[in-house]
Amino acid sequence: MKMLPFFGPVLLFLWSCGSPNSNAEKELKHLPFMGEPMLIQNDQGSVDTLWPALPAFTLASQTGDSLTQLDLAGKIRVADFFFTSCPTICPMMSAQMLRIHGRFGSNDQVVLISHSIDPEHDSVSVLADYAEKLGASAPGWFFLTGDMDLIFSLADAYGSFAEKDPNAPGGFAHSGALTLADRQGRIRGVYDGTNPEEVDRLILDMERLLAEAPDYGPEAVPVGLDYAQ
Amino acid sequence: MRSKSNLLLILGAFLILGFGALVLFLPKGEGATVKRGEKLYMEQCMNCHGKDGKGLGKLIPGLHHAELLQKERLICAIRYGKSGPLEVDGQVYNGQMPPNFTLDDGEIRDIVNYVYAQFAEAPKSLDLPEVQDQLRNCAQANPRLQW
Repeated sequence: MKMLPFFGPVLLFLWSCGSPNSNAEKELKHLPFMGEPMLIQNDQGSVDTLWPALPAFTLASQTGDSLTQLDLAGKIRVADFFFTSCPTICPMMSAQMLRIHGRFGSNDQVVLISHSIDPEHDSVSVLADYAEKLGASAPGWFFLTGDMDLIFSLADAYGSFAEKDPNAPGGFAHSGALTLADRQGRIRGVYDGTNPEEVDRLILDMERLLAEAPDYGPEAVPVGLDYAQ
Repeated sequence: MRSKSNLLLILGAFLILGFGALVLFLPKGEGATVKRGEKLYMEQCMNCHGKDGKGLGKLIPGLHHAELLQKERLICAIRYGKSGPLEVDGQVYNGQMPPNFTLDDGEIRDIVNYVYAQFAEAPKSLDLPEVQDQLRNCAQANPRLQW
């Protein structure tokens, strides 16, 4: 007991090292924002931090109706870029998206969007047939087709990649990324859609995003595409 | 002297045991072809048919269907691919399986043996001449080489 006055402060110091303060703990629960912040000088002379959100788009879905960014407002989304005749990684990506659809298909706060990078071949009816055979249904999962240059630009905006390449199997080179964006269209994670363990992590991160307040973080500003519509 | 010969004895015992273990655990016979087949399956087939061989919805058939595992169909499809409608257990699949001309006859045997070991109801193993016989017959059975 005599030692206590001496060790007391030491123990207190160790205790404070061991448990992070509550603010830091809260921060850890949130996913990072991907991309570069925009620092804008406001009228009061100070600087506002804004965050780029995914660009606007209008594409046709397998249902025959068009889909725009407005249909995704307030929902979290997972996006990928694929084509129906893809002989390489697409079936793996679709299998993983199907897992996510199985988990969140009945949640109206979640939308999956699969963009065809071969829109000439992947018409609305081809996509409808693909979705039906895969076991995917709107409004939980949309398959999108439209202007190829717009879709390639969107791939870039989503931190993915797609381009025509006659030397690639199937005629297109593309990334197997699944991109997670929040209710305001800010990218919060990019995952390897061919790796089931990464998709496990994506599913956990989706739960975290669903639990997050919609207005959390810096204000989102949709960015334009270089592509002129 | 005594301790030196003891040391030699122990060393010898280690050598014999080590060699024995090596022989025991070296992949051989059916085990080896299946093991090589597993690696090739993961590189060449898993993307579409899945690690578990279950396929993908109604787009890509699973490999547990006995009719797909008939050696005539399986062997020729691995080398020459498959296109056009394919009916399996009442379900019509309309995808395309790409050909695999980079796989040699032995590698096709390994994949076939892995698929049989993993997904067939009654696993079996084919030897190289059987596979090569069938590969020669693919062109005879279907001159367009479309399975």
